[in-house]
Amino acid sequence: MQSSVRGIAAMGQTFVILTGGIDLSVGSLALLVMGMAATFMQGRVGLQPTLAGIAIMLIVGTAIGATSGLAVSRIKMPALIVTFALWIALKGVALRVTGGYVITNIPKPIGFLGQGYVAGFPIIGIAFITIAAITYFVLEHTTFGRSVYATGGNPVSAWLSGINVNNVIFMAFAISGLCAGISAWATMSRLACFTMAAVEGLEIDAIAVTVIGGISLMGGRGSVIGVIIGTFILGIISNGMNILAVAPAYHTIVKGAIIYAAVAIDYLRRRR
Amino acid sequence: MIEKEITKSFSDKAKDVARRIFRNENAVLAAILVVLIAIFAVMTRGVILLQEMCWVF
Repeated sequence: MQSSVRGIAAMGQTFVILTGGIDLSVGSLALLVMGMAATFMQGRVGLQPTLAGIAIMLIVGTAIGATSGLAVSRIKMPALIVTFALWIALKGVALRVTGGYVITNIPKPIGFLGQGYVAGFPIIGIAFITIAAITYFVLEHTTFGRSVYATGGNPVSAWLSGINVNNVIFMAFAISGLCAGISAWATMSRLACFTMAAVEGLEIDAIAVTVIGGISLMGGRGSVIGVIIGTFILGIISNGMNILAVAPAYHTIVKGAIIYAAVAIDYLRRRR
Repeated sequence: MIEKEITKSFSDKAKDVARRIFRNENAVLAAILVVLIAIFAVMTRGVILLQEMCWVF
């Protein structure tokens, strides 16, 4: 289930990295929208506030992602700096909105996505597979998908070929924001509460999964199927270390080593 | 002579298939995943398999 949250965020990250950018704000963005929705839903009951809370997470997530996209595509700011600044700022905004408290009294129907099962299958797993299938279809079988690859591969050639590179980058960041919103929804649904540590390290996990899956950090190369396998690889490693009671410090060391190795392999392959 | 040629072409085919699999990034990743599952299954005495199967099924 944890793999699904990570995988959904990674699907958004895939779009951004394929255009040659990077989105470091995913974790803080998910934290903020979770905090906003939890604050709104706190003390309310029923389906209506739940739907409104979900709408807050998805709309605000997409809007903030689109803001990053505007800064990168129109003002031409580096994606790393824009999203790094947002990563820091949004964490502060989340702290301001929620006061840093744990919010528990949220409506019960929010648990549907994270705790529900359909014919023995966890709904969150089905959601991840569905989002992965949509991402695969969009990237492999639509004009927009091919534009994403072309933009990341060579932006100048893409521009000369008639692709609106700025729009593609803008859309990629907006999709990443939407996926962060869905991840926030899934996390809140799974935990049935809000805590400041709920999505700790989500951005690192999303980037790790994407890079393990073979998406080149230079942009323009990689496949969604690789990202899905990468999600399972990181899931197995994290889960295995948890079962073996490995100290949390080693978890981050292993993740860092995996990202390092994946990027090194990518660069060596490109040099050949 | 003929038998030798057939054997040679079979090994060539096998090498070709292996090379293709190795060149296919997703196949390599899937192989890494299978190896990791096997390693963790041994290390956790099958506990991880139960958990992952719960996730999948």
